[in-house]
Amino acid sequence: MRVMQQISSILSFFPVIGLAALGGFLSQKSGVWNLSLEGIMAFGAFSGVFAYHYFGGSIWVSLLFGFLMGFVIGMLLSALTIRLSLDQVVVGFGLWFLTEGLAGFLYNTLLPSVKVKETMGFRIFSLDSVFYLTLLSFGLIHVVMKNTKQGLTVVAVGENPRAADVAGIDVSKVRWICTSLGSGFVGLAGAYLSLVILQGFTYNLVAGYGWTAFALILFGRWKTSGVFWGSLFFTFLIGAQTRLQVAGFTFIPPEFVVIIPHLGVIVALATAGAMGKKAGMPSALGVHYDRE
Amino acid sequence: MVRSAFYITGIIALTVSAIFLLTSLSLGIDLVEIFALFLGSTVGSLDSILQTLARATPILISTLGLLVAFNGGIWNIGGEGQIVVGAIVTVGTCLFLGLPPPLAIVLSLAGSFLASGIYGAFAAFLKARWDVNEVVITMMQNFVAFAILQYLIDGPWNWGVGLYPRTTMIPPETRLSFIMSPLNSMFLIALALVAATYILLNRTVLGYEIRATGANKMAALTNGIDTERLTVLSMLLSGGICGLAGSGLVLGTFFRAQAGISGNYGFYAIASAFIAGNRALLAPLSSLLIALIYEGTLSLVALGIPHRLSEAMVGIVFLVVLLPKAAGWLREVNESDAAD
Repeated sequence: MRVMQQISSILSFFPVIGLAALGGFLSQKSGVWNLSLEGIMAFGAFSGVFAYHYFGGSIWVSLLFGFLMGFVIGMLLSALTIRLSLDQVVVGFGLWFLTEGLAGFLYNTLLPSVKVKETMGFRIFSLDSVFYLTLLSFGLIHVVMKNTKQGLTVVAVGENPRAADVAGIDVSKVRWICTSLGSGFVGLAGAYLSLVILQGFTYNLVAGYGWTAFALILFGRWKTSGVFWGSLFFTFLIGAQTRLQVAGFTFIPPEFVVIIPHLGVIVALATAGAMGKKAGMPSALGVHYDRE
Repeated sequence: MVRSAFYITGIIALTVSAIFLLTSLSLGIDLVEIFALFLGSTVGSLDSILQTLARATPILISTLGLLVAFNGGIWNIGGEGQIVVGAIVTVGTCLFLGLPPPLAIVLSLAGSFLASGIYGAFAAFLKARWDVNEVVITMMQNFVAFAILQYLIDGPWNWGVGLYPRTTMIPPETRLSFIMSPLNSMFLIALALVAATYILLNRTVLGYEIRATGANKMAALTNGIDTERLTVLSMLLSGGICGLAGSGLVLGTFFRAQAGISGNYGFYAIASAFIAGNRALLAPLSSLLIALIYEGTLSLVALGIPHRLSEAMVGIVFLVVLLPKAAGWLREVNESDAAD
């Protein structure tokens, strides 16, 4: 029983990593890098707490607001990269700065220190509904990507936008939808982090999880299943790290226990690269599509 | 180049003013007061000018480092980590080797250049050999470098000085001299690096090859350029220069290693390099602009405006600078720049 409790307590962090990775994945699949995951999570986290304080204290409304603000940032990212054809990497960094800075700035000016008292009600195996929603999203996107016309459209746009265009697909629209929807997921991940996991907003609360999520898309080789198992694995790694710290595990200094997930990303990507497993990156990822 | 510098400065000035207007309206703080404090604390007196220049120094050095990699088509966002590695090596050299002072300083700079360079080149090696994404690796390396520093100042290098974890101070003889306090001679090294980076990128075969690799890897490859070697080499230089920034922070500013020594300069340098359009000669200007925003917003804390404004402001400035490029307004300017 105690093992079960430990496992579900580790898994309760899964939505943070999983939703962020899934959001970035969606956008990359359509050919757009989203390098602002870290910032969008921070902004989602702020938005969630903001909505909790001003819109009546419902967790669900607050989570939804986090999703919406992520969606709006995704629209901005789309406008800058797809419409104005700016470099995706440069815009990604700019939005990262902007959203992370703005989150801290607005929190400091608009909110007193908010303590979230409400918790998620419905639970199975002491895991809340957002956890199951995350599983559902993974399943849904897996099926959509593999078996539906819409999924194939997204893949086509990410692989060969010119051919997709010739086949009558609106490339900009597909990329726009995937990027914004993906950003919405990232915002939701941030809102879940602040509202449910930390029960409030603190500076640097994202602490690199956005970049971990970003790495997981590469680690999963642009497959829904790969991203899913990767997210699960890293959720356990993060859980192990905090537990080792709490348990006063002294074999490895605590300063190094903290970076187990980060080292894990380096090792995982390096070995995957060394073993030649790099296939799967959408061919047109990061390439602006011009109809000319 | 003078014209695009003029345009960019103008755009940034307008943007910053607009942000101040919004801040003033939303927080109900007098706009004049905001401007007076912002300008007064950055350029209002000799002291504040020196302080701004001192702030610009590590940003400028890191900017130069990053733009070497950016010119080579490598997204080095590990500037923070490379600064930290440089700082660690410098403290180690000055505290433990017991070398005569001038040699200690020279060896600190050389050692941090080498160590940070290798630290950065590791990511480039993975990229060149196995096409591993360098954005992720360099970002993760930041966290690793922070952890190493934290370990050292918590444990082996902590001799119980002060309330929070940090090393003891390096001997006074191994410190850089001040031009005028707080501006130290690292500023001159930074200016020399501007010239060196410019010459490297624009006047040498190596620089030409780096830029060719960055502009079009396939074309470079077919023209007989060893792009694998070039990728590793440009990150070696890039990381090395960022390491010098860390070394300078120890030798001239803090005289010790402490948590947060890199001060987000490695991240601000990304913005600075982009604003400079990856050109070494524009780097001093863009670094100065970032330093102005950093210092200015720092003083605005007195009016109850959080310093987080700085980060958001750099993000907005960064995006706004990109817009005219998209609209083609600067195309003409950029073309006339291609001559220099």
